[in-house]
Amino acid sequence: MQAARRLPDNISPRRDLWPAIAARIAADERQMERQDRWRPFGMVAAALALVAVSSLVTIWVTDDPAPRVVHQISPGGMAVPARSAPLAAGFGAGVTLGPRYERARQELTQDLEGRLEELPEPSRALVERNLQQIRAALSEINAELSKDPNNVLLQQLLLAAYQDELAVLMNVNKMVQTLPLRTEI
Amino acid sequence: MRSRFKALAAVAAVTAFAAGPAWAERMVDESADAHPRGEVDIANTAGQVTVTGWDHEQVKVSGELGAGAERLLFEADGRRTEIKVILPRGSSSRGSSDLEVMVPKGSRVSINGVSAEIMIREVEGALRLQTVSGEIDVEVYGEDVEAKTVSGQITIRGQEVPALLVLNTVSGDADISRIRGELVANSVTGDLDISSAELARARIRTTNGDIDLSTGLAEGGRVDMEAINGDLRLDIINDVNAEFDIETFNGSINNDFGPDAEAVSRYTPGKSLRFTEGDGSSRVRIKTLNGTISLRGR
Amino acid sequence: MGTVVALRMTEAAEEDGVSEALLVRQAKNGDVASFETLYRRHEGRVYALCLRMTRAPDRAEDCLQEAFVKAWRSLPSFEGRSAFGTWLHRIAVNQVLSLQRSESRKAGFLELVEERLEPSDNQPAQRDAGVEMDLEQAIGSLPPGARNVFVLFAVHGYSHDETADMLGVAVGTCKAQLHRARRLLAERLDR
Repeated sequence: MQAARRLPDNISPRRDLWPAIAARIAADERQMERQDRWRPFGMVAAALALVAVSSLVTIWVTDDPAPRVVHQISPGGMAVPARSAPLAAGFGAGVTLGPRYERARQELTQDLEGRLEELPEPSRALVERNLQQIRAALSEINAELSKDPNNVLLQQLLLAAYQDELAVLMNVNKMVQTLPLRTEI
Repeated sequence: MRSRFKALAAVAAVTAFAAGPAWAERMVDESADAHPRGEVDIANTAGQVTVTGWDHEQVKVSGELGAGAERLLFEADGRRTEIKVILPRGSSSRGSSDLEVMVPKGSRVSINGVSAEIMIREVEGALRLQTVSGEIDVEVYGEDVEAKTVSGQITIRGQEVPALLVLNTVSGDADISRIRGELVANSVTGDLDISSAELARARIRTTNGDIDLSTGLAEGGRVDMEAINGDLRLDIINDVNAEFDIETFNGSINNDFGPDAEAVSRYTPGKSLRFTEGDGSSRVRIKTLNGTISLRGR
Repeated sequence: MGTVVALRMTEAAEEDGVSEALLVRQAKNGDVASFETLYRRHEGRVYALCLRMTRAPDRAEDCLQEAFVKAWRSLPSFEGRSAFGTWLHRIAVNQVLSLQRSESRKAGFLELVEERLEPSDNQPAQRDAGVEMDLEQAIGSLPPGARNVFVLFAVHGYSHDETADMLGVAVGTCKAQLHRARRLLAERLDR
């Protein structure tokens, strides 16, 4: 019976069931207008964005000793190519980012491209400069990782930097969507 | 100059308010009944927004609309009050409007601005604040607070009551004091300065800024500090009972207690420091690529 | 040729994310994003429970979905007196039980037949876990009453009282079913 205790008590379903659940909850909500709700995207949206981002990243690590770059993925270019060079998303030699992550990253980068126009110029430039800093950090870590692919600290920091980038993309995106710049008649 | 306009307004109050020339500044004075724990949503692109909590079950707005502002939207249904400075469509007005808003102190408040400066005092409900380049200067109590800026500075003063505080800034600096409970803070290049008597959970990340955290650790607490290019400092102000996992890729580790940091390898300049102090019930994780880590405590 | 190891960072997210109590509080306030995070943190355990009790991934997925939708609807009545995970499991177990009841109404005699057969739609094959595979299959082959008790007690570690409570049976019945489960498993594994 000890064998039973050792059986995994945590099994992933074959597919992501959340969308179906979310759809039913949304249908519910439309039916019962909750008066007391704090909308629109919840108080802890920022923290959750970070937690949710973690689950988007699946890292495939090969312990192939011959260092090589397995997969080069470039995100959608920024609106003003002169200011920011496209970045090959990698995790150092032999490591790639999962497809869900890449998709989120590309979509957000493209969304942001369009939205940045709506920010006042100094802020727009600032966002681009800061994203450049994150991407420079990503390059630096990737470069170090290609020399030392099994370095756990580098892998963790690289992951963190990707999460930071995604979080900035998400946060600035959301911010611009909700700015009080336009007016309704 | 200003007082002349104000005198004009006093002389012909109704007409001046209702149909003054578009370029004149206009006074604002609206109020409505409000639930003591209702919702107040404020939007102002530019200018000062000052919100103060009071004991009346009423929301009151006063202030001045700037040149270029079309009007003030003020809608209240008793549970939710909306206050919005309306700019004409396609406006590139440089004018700014200043609003002073009194709200029931239990209200939940959300404020949305672009260059608006946000100040909040004595509001005990949850806060959700966002401004691109303006500053945020707020008191927080026991409810959750979320604050976001792109370049604006964030100043938060707690009342020593546990809550969840979530901060996001791109390049703004943050100065946070007297908070308790849980903190999630992120910056790209802003510096984060935090002091607390006790935190249960802190997750603080920056890409290229510095982090300075002075706090007690709650039992079973977790602190996670990370920078890519930044200096990190943790000062534990109560008894230390924690498991430490501290590492740099390129930089030194200075600690007041515990063993000496070890070189990670002969070939890299990185250091690592892993040890347990006291009963090890908390967990502290501090990592940086390029930077110095300082660990202080008793 | 290297082996490929996938690291899911959700575990890391659990480690340094927002605490559960606060997520629950937010979800109770109507924040769907918080509820989604709770879903991600608990889906694996709830699914494992449903899968072993229903023995079929399709049915387990249905139960999982129903359980979470019901949980969302019942959030206002969750007081925090038990752990959130336990509360979720209770709801999931109720789902499974009502599914089992409706199935038994439909096909009473089929159950007797199934007791004698090995189920074929169980967990994905694990080539290197011979004993585990046999054990999983054996558990799957148990009659529902014994299986439910065994899964909750022996696999998920609930106490006799908790197991009985979740299944809506007396503690004595629960112990008897557990005894039966052990006996049947011993028989089937020793073969």
